[in-house]
Amino acid sequence: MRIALLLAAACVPEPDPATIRVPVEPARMDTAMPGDTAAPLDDPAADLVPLEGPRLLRRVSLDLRGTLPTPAELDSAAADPGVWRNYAAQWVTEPAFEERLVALLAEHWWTRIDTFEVVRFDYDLTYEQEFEFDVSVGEEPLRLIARVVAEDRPWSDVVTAPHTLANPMLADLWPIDYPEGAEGWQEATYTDGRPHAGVLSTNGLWWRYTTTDSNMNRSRAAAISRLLLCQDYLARPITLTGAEDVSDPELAIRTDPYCVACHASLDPVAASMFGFWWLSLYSRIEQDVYHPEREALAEEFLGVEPAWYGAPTSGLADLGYEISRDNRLYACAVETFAKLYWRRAPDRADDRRMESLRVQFLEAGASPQALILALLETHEYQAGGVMDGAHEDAASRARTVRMVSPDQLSRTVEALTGLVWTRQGHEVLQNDETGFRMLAGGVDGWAVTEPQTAPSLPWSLVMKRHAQAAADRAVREELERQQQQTPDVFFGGLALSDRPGDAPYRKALGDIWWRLTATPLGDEDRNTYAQLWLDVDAEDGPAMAWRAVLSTMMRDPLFLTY
Amino acid sequence: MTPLVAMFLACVATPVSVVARDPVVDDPGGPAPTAGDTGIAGPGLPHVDAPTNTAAWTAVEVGAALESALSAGLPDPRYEHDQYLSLLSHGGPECPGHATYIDDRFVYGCNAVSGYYYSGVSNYLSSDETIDGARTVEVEVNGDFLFRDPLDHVFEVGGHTRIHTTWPAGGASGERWLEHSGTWLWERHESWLQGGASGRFSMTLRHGGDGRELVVEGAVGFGGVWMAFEDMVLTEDSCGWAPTGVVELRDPGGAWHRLDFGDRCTPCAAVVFDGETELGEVCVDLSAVPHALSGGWEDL
Repeated sequence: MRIALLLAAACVPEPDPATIRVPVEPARMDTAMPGDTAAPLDDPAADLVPLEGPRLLRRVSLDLRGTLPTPAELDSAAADPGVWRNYAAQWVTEPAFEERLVALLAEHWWTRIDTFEVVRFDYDLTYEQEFEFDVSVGEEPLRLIARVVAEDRPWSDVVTAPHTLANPMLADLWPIDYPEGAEGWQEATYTDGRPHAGVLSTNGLWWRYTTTDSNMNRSRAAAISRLLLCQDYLARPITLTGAEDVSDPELAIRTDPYCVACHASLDPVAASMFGFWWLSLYSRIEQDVYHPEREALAEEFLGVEPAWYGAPTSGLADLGYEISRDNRLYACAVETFAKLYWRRAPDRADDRRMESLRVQFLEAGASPQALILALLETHEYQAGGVMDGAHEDAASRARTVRMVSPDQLSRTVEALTGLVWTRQGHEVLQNDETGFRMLAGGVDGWAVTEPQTAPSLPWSLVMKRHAQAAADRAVREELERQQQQTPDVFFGGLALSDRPGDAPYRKALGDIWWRLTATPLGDEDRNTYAQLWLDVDAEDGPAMAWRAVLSTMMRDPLFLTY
Repeated sequence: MTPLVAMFLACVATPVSVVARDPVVDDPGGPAPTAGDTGIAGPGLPHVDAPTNTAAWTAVEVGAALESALSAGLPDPRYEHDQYLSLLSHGGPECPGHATYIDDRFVYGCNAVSGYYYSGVSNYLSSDETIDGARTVEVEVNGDFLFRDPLDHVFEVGGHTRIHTTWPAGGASGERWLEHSGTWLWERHESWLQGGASGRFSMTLRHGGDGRELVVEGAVGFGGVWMAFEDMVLTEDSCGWAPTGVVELRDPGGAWHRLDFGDRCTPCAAVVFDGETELGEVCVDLSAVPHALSGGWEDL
């Protein structure tokens, strides 16, 4: 009950919970596009108000690193609201950026599923190794893409790179030539005769997007279209007259106009991937390796020669090359990253903005980092509210408040407290077999393919348990044990004997709040937390009082959103 | 909705105050779009080198690789079938419980008293029918399974074999159709199955007017060699087992070499690399293929 009261006190109710309206006329953003003679007056983006400096820095940090800014970084953003640009340019060069990208890309590529057709038992792995196995398989394609971005190589490398990314587990299970003596995710090559075409050559991608004897890679061709061109065959309207003869589906695919409309372009792409055409599902011996001899079967079984939208290809490597020459690959990269960083899908009203970003992207040599940094400059990215009287579209479209993802939350809490929430070797916020990734608002890539955008009851329960565990660990490590090797994150200079009214207590409370939310702690909230501390202290002592305060702060909307 | 969630919903908005700041330019620069939102105009795409196909083999090497690969014949579905039943014969009533298949109780494995290990799922179909004097015998093994003998040799399969034999009424000679699909591995085998035989191909054995005849279709890979057959026919009497039809071989670089023997009953063919470059002519002896199937002809 106390927590509920505190939550209620810690925020200011708004009539419209989806967005924030600012009742004053702000400095409008410049929405003019190069070449425009005048900014469009009805541009919904013109009605967006940016976040304040520290809060914007917090958003950038969570998006690029997955963790919160340090107090010093927040202080600098309070002094100079534009300093986030310097930090962003620095953060994209740090290892945390690549790690964060893996989780972010999983929202689009959907490969971080919990169970594949081949399971850990097929390799005699233990239950405790299952999580690492599933994560390794699902992350293989994501790691490759993330490395391209982290090293700021041209986006075309995603489909042309002459290697994959592998860790020791994958190298042990699959025919992969992993650098001797290396650790972690490294560039490595398959040794089973498969052509190298970047992500198109990874087992991880095709274990997620499987096919059957009769499907013959068509579903994979559709996946390539959705993932790399942002064109979803399954979203196309299909009208059947009822007169179609589907007694022979293969014949219908080649002759019926309604079928041909999709299959004329889909099947030649499928024909380029016959080395991955498995002839028995759930079979390790079939799925581990590429089958070069089956390249020769495509034409016989599909009835078409391999091609990419009319350009003949001679196999997988050629397919990657042709995709890299397709403008749609780059337009889709813009759309994909816009969705990931704006937390909403671009729509028709964004067409001009998308096109402008595409041009910049290509002028920068298809530099993914240039694209991401450009996206961070956009109204939609920085939006923290909408103005009173704003265009209705702006209010309904903008993600002025974003829910912290399970990945961001787990990284943040680990960085702050050292807590990694696990159960039998499985990270609880990173899986749904034994954990709560979906309940925490995340994407498993199978049952849930879009991140949660509003709180739910299960979500609040997960947040509660996680916050309690995090607070417990922080108090135990920093206040109760006073371990010298543990750097003070929350309670620097504080002793358990310090109480509300004491200067160290007051400072610690404000600093914790600043660190967690990038906002100053107001008097009303300060008093509420002090009362909570006193209530718990009276029953269970000061350590428990700090657990209550910290866990409550870590469930506050200002902490759990950004 | 619980009060807690409702309260959260009511206050997720971040308090925003407007501070004096430079306007954020939505588009940080770059030239004007040149073609609206079509996504097909504007600056150039990044340069990517086209994949190059270079022949890793000469024509002679292609011929040698083909002969070497087929020196012990093609993977024989009859052998695969027989090994499957032979290994299952070491099982018992508790593990795996059946003489011809392993059911889903043992997906995660069981150890037989004999020391043999069985895991996975398989099914076994067989039929023997005579209709109007014509007899048809079919056997088929399907599955995804792994057996292990007491010496730890692995027999692992993902796929199927089908053997279909027909004898027409009136005592005419029969025809046998054998199909291999998927991957079959048997570590104790001394040839094709030792490292795994992968592919989808069929062989048809028959007695024709020109003696014994073998037709091969499909693709197969084993021992690091990958090949495909388009209506390749080996005929004993009239051709002396010289092939007709087409054989393709994939070199280590990933390019295919095509040998089109035509219908002339000649052991020689031009080797065409990557669909267009002729590397020269090569002559091959493929008689090992039908000879390796000696048992397959016996009762036809």
